[in-house]
Amino acid sequence: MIELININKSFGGKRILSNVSLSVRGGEIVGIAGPVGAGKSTLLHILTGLLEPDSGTITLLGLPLQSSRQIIAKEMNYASSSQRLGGYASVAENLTTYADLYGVPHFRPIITNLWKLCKMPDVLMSKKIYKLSSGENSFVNFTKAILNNPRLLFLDEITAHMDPLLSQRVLTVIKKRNRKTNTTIIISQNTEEVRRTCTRMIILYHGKIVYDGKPIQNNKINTYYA
Amino acid sequence: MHNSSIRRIRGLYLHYLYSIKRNPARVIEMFVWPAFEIMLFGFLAASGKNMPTEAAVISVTILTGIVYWNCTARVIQEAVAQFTDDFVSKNIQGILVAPISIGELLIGITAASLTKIAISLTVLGGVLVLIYPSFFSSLGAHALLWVFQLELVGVAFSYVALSVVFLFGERVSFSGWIISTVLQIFSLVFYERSALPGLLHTVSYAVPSSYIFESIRAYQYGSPLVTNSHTIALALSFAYMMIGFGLVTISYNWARKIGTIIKS
Repeated sequence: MIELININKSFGGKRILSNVSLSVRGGEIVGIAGPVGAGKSTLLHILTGLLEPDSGTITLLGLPLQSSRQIIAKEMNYASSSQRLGGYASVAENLTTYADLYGVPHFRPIITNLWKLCKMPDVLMSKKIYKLSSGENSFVNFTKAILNNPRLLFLDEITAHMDPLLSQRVLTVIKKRNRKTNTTIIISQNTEEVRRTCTRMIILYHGKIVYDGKPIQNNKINTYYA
Repeated sequence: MHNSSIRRIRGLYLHYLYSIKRNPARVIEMFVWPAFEIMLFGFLAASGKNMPTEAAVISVTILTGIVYWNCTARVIQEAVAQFTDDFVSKNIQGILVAPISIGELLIGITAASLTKIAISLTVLGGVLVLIYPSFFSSLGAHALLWVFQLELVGVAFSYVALSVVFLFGERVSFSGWIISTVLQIFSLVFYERSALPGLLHTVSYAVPSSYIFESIRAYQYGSPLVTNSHTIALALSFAYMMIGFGLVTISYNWARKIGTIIKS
């Protein structure tokens, strides 16, 4: 599903990612952990095509990202807690426009099902984006990200501003989505969350993968930061 | 055009239309300030009958220039304003991760800008009819041709402005104002081409709106419509549109290298 070979990225002479190679199979939920500035978000942005690496090869769903971005994008989605959708439009209006962008004809049942599972009130639908709390905003971004039932789902600190209960429900939805055809990559500073949700953990440190394997405990993670 | 492409354009169109909905700052920018401007110079032109002939002509020239320049400048400024909003909110990341092409993005932005400008011009036209009723009757049906052509110029140069936003992000939210102001100098909105000295005079020949404003003034002063000027303006506008599209594509690819989209 995801194949990265020798990805390098620098900004202003500072190396952010250094020879990152990675292979992710269908059905995996991969948690990427690491200290601030380790290159986690940069890696995710490269996977989404928002950022181009200085060198290296990216293959998603068996296609090269560089030349097949639009085809891959139909099967992919991304959400970040720091993102805000169209501020003066309502949640429903924003989701409708994104349904158009992804060509999803009947998106209402998807949303209804998700919102029921996460116990989110319907009244949120008519709320304007700029009036949402940080947690609600993150949840709306998550809703947008699963609108097209993507085979590749990339989430950047999506539960960062959510309350523990909502965060738990969202992670349960992610786990339930986990099928052989779906792959999820989650960036999170909350290593406990990664440990509970993900089937695989990657630790990035100074732009390099220093651990790739089963999710491990917090005290063990710290040994990789040295 | 493929159905799914039309749907993506509709999504972008709606997204950019919603950007002004319930947004008081943008409503003021789009409707209230231009309306005050039209009122001010509309009253000046209406009082022209009490002025010496030359002063009356100047006041009508200023009003005509302001009304028609709105068609170009507002398209550029609106396109940049709505696009910059997406950089500020980081919604641009969500949009560019979606399966859209640069062509679809530009069509969506353009369609939304033109819709908003059409509403804005209708409001301004209404204000003008109340203040200076003979304004439109003196121009006749040609007014629509000029509006269309000037909007086309606005679309072409809005692409140039959008390419700047792609490169520098929200920091250059003023690029729409700068490009439209510089363009105005060469567009001969209020003066004849001969008023521009040396190099500025030469450059003005490459600006499509200069031909349109010359044509408007000539028609106002009793000359027949110069179709040749409009053909040149149309050809130049399409050329700039192609150049603008190329610039947006280049700057988008460059932005993906330098990280403007993710750093916004």
